[in-house]
Amino acid sequence: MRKNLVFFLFIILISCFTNSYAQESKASIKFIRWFFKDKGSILYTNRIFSGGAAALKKDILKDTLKNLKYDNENKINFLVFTDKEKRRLNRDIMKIDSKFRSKNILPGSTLIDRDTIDNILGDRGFGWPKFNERYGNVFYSFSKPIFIRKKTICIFYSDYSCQDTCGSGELAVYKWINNEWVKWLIIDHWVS
Amino acid sequence: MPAPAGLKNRAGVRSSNFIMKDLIWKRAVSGTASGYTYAEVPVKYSSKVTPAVFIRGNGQDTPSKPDDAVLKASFDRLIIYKDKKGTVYQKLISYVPDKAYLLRHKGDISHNRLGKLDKDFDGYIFHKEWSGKMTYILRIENGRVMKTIRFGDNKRKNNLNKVRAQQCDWYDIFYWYQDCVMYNDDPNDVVCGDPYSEYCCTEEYCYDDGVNDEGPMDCSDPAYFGHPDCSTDPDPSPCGYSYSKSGARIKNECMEIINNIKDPCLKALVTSLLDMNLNQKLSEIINNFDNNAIADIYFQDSPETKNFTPANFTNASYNPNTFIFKATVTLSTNILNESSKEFAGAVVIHEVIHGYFSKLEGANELLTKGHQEMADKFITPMAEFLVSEYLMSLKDATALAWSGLGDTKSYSTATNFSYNGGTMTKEELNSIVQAYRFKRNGSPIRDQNNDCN
Repeated sequence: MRKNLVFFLFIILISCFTNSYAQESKASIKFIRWFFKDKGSILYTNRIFSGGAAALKKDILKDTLKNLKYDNENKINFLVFTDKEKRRLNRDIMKIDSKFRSKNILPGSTLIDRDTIDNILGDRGFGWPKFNERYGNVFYSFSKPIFIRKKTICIFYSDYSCQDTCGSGELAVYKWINNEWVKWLIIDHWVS
Repeated sequence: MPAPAGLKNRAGVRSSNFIMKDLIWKRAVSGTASGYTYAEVPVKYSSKVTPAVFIRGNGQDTPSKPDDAVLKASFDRLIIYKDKKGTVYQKLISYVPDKAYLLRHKGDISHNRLGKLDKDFDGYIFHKEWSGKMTYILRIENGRVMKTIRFGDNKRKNNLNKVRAQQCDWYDIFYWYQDCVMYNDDPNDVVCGDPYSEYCCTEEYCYDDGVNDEGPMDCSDPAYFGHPDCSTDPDPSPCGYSYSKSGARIKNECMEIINNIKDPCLKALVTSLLDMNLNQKLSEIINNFDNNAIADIYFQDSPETKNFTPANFTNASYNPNTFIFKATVTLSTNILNESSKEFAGAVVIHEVIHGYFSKLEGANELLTKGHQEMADKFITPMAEFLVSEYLMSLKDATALAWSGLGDTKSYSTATNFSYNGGTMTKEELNSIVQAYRFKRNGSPIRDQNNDCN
């Protein structure tokens, strides 16, 4: 009986892992490649900034997500989550700042471990000059995409940093319309 | 021009002559207005002299002592101004607030400047010769001139068109003297003794249906430099809404900065920049407003912001129904408390310019264009502002102005960066920025006792 139970739990664990990984390797990677398709060769990290999940949770876990910008008719678009979606988001959002497993999400671009960046920029007095010397002027970070409604809606955060007061980031909701992704709602946008 | 009973009319001349005047040059500010270039320099005295107006009438003939807070907050500035021919003039200006206005501004009105008064300024502004002789007095309400009370020759020269007046008031001017000690040449750091008064002079102000009967002013007279009615400059709109005579609300294209910072040292730093009229200066530089929006920029602080940035400009939103643009600037206390004031000041200016740009673009457009425009147009004004605020070298200020523009073409393609009088390499520029960033240069925001500098 106990052997059966252990085996059952093992199967569940494997199933969760493969589902998660499968999502990253298919829909997520496809979305990320679409997102960066016009950027060319970039330097990117394997996770977003430390504490990203907690920071983005405040913006995402709401009953309604509203666009920061009004449309041409001076109306504002919004997305209302169902209870089931909120439960799903509550679970998925904790993985939003975890590291990507794939080392080749963006072919032709260069991956840098986020821990390396954190160490350089946390190094007092030598942060950005040392980074510039070793890696260049800009690096990009992005979250794991969160899909809902049969992968027709995607919540995604991305940013780039180039100096102490040089950078920009955006949390947005994308919608699959006519066989392509369209940016639908801007939930948060920052610039430095 | 009768003096009150028992008092001799001194016309202000003797009253000020035996007072030692000194100028605080390091707190001087400069500008251009109405075809003049000018400098406004704070003045300190061996005895502080505050003029006060007493309007006779309604059975009151004895002037009451001005409020202590009003006496404390009042101040003098010397205006040195030069016309296009190179002729230099000077005058003294006393700013004396009404108590209610003063209370609204927590006892400090020193951020007011010639032609750049608070939109809610209520009080008097006295224009005098260097000797102390009164030229004219402005009664200001809600930042606008309500009356101009002219004195002596100045009045006679201008009242050629005098009309028959229905009503006249007598304005008695008294000087209130206080023995004061000023610390660190800071006009806000003064301790004064009890005031005592001396009668200065009296002037009659006549009007008919609210219209002054003294006729138009001769604006070609340099004495009227600084008088709003003689200004040839575009009227700087006050921030927020104003109301027409019919009560209709009018939108003014302007930006209001709301300082909600909790950290006392960072709050003081932002306040200091705003007192230097940062907002006004930037709006003068960015003179192509076209979306007619009101912008509210909220400054707040947090231990950390995203991606190691010292500050973030975020939540930019524009509501076309209310014409209100809102955004938040979050300063990182962890980073900026480990920086110099100069670096933090440059960061604040950088973010405020973002505020203007995103307001122009209707919010949340990608702001790399903003950085490029900053690089193209704002390096010199930003650097000059930093020099005037922190008395730093133009070279260092220029380096700080470039900080944060690493994603621009101008920065990435340049190998040398020029400033008035020299050039520096990119490595040199980055080294200067990092030195201010990590307090190896400049003034720390906090001293060794963790008090604000």
